[in-house]
Amino acid sequence: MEAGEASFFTQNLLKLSTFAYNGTSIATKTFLCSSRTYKNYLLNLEDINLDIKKLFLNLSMPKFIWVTEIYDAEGFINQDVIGLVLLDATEPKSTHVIGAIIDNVFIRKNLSENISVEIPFESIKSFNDNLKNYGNN
Amino acid sequence: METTKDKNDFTKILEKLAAKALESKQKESKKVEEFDFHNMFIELEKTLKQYQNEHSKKSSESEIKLSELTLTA
Repeated sequence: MEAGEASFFTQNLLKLSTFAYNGTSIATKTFLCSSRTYKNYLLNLEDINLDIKKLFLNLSMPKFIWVTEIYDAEGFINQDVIGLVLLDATEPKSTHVIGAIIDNVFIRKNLSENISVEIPFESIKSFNDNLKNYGNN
Repeated sequence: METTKDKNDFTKILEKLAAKALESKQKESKKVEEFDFHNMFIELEKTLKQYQNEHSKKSSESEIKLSELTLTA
């Protein structure tokens, strides 16, 4: 899935999720990331419910993923992520939602699973480690 | 590669979290039951296909223009 498709898919997913964020202005940030780096970031997150951390670390992920962080527009400056959408970046033909949390609802959609479960999720700190060492050499 | 053990762990954690959410009885606790996720994903696939078709049409048009330019040059 290419960048434009990932962004389009996520924006549409949020638009169609009419159960979520009613009356709240949200902002999103989408980026490509290796699953290894992203899992490492999750592993090192401190202010997160341990079960949420375990849930995401247990997700089977391809080598590269599209990550969309969802922010409350007002809280964007604090980089507090209130929702997440992880998409498979390696699958060109079909769209796999590896895992998403949209307004406290965990969603997973692939060929064999179709999960939507309400879970407790508050917020986590934004991921800022992409291309961390870029330009330092 | 996802193993059966991984899947069991994942399911157990998800069940535990769902039970926690149910316990805390959040104000919109019925939002998942009432929402039609199945149709949402059908709609999503449909709009994505439209986007892909439009996008591939645009890129083939620009490829034609580029080849015309190359020929002119």
